[in-house]
Amino acid sequence: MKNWWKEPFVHFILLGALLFATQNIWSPAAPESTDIVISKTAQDRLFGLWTLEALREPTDQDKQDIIADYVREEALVREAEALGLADGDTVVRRRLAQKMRELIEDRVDMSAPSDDELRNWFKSNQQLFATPERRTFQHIFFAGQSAEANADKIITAQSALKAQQNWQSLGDAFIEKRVYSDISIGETTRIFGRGFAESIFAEPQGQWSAPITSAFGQHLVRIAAISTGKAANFEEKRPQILSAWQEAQRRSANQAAVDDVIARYSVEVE
Amino acid sequence: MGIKSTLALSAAMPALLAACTTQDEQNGTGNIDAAPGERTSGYSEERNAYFGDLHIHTKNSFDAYIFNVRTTPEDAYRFARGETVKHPSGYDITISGPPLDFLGVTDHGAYMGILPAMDGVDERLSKLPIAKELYGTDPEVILRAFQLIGGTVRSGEAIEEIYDKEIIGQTWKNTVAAAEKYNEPGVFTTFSAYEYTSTYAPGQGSDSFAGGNLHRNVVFKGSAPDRPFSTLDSINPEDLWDWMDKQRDAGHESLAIPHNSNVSNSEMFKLATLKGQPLTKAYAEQRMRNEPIVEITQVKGTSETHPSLSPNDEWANFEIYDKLLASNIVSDTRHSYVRQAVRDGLVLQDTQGFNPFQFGFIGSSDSHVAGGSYAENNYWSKVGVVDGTAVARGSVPPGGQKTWDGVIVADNAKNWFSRWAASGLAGVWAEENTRESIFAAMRRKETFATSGPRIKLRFFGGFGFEPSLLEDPMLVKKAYANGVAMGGDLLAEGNKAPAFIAWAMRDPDAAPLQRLQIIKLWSDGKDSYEKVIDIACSDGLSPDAATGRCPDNGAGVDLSNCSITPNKGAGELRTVWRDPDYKAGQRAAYYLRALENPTCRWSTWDALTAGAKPNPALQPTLQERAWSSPIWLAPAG
Repeated sequence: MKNWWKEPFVHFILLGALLFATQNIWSPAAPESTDIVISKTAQDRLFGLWTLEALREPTDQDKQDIIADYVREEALVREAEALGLADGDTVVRRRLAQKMRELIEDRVDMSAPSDDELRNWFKSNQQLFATPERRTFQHIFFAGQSAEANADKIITAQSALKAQQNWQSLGDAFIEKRVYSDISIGETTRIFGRGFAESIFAEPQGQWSAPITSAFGQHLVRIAAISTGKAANFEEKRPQILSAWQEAQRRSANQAAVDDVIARYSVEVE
Repeated sequence: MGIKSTLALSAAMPALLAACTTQDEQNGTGNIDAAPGERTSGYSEERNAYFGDLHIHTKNSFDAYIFNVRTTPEDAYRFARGETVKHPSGYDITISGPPLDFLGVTDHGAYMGILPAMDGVDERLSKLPIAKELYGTDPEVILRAFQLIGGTVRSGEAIEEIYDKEIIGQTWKNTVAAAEKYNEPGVFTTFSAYEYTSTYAPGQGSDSFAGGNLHRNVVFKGSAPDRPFSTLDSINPEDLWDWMDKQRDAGHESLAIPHNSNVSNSEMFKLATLKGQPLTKAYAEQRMRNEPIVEITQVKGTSETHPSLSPNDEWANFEIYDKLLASNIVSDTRHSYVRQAVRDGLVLQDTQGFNPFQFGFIGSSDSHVAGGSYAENNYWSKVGVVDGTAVARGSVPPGGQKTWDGVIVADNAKNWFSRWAASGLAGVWAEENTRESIFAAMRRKETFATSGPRIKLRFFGGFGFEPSLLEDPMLVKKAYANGVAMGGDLLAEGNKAPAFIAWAMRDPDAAPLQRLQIIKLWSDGKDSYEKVIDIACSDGLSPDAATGRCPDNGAGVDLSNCSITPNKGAGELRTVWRDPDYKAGQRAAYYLRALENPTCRWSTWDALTAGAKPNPALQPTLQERAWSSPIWLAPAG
């Protein structure tokens, strides 16, 4: 186990305590007790820890230093506690919780699963490896945010489409593509925003749509092709499945470790 | 130990933030892209806009690990792809908006991976006295040890006992391996990269970090050498270029991207070599060969220009940060900003026949917690535990207080953290999302920068562009065919004034656009000049003939909830602009700037979330923006 008491986070707690203390925002608070008692047992523990770290017994000078260190830290911590930092400071609390997690997490040995185990897990998590639906669409763009302002231009374009005019000669230029090939709803959202992407993935294939509004203007859209999503093949995706299984195991083991800690407490929500 | 020394420690800690570096050697550990000739499904002749970040640190950077950052290069790639990672202050961070298209992890080359090794990972290193100091309990001692390390990154005089080249080499190898693992042609592009962290402070010893920031990120196109060239090899960027040239000959193509010129103390773009020798054609060529683009915006401020350099640019005061890293010394502005450098480059070309500053622009974050905070309403600053909370960065009063009455903001928050920015991103126009295509875009400077939003900018220069072209559905194809794109060179045609197609599209998840501006820079053969011209306005408005500015479009921000005025601004703005002041024979550079409607700054969002008043010392709102790379116009003949 790491020497957690020597970690920088401890110093930052102290540091934070001092920073706050100098800001004159709280009236000075007195610690509950101003006695710092270092019992013989406590001394033995401190010297023992030191020995573990230094791989030798502390000399008398070392012992003096160790005790001086302890007193300094204890005094600061008491001041911090008196200021309510240990209770109220979310950062400190979170850091402590995080540190505790580090101590108890990732302790599981991740041996390889049996073939059956992996297949079963895959069966109940197939959607993670499935290929999403992808679409190819063309769009005629009308710049400007209001559908009303573009109404005439849109009607003209729609008549032109009926008259079999080349769609690429209609509407305004678009800053990127006029044909998006084989893209998912996620990629469409990335370019056009969510509302537009959802409309595109609800349109039937083949005909020109009614005007659809994006963050940039209006669009007439024609879905040229739909490749429906498909389930994954276990053999083809085996390496990805194994790595996802390991990640899932790790997470659930870590969750269990935290749950074990929580189980030691009785919790009452008033 | 008393309060005084502890405060000194906390004050000095943030100083550590700045560095970057590495060493040299040949032989590759890297890998290659998709098979040449195969196109991914997103391929487009007319090119797509891709957004990325080429400046991210992880636990392997000395100034990240010390602030409790434990996330790895793999975490950085996972974050960019939309997954959630842990901030060292204990909360989860997730990217705002869609995943990024490309990313390069850029840990400092100097002492890469050494701090984690000193913290128990490596037996020899963690038993050194300096390791005990660094991970001990006395803040004063920790600070001294940390400053010692930071100071030698600056001086280049390595602490031999911790300069373990094997560990650095292994860390670099792992960094390259992480890039290889996450590179997915057509979907997500990664680059092996690191930061070269040179800081120039002639006459100063190794005991501090302050100085002229000359940091660069070195980005490899594909294969990478065995180790990075860091300041522990040489603090002179000219030596870095020599190394890069040598690596290029050995098959490891790269480019270096200077950043934070704003805090370079007038060193980054000075009109002399590092050692003060006159610039030469050979210097200019080598610099341009290795540094075709610069980073003009990031968390530690925007380096486009400064109000003192551009008094007639009302938007010059954008996320200005001017303290030399880890200090409260104000950086000399003169040769610290990109716009002035482009101007100086024009004059150099006219007077001496070479230009070392003909670069394109990108933005990036410089996050030290493996993930950039690009959105004002989802901000976690830069460093780690010292600025990971709103109180720590000075945007919310301490102790649950709701107002700022009687609050004395800690120096670090006041001078550093509260002045930092939720910025920025790198934009490229590339045929497809592959290393080959994106790297080529950076080489030809067809790049742009944003302060965080995914604003897309097109910018073309030519002589035949007419306003009717805007109505043409084939606009992009014709613009490429009859002009040059951003980053390109235009050669004068007789007395014809150049015309530009300027075009911006908003981020669907951010505020609408307010205006498009051309920044014109030119030389008269002796001095240089600049002018900011509004060329397109939202809401049906036109630039005022007298002022040359768009009238107020009425867009504002309600500071009680950060909502913005609805139905104001534009989804996209486009125009053709012909330079009315062009004089035959004039050498000039033009770039495009697009401004959003005003929105709340991150500090105001922080306060709103905490139910407190915004810090009155900070600007409550800002105008997010995007900058294109310039187009250079050279006189004929």
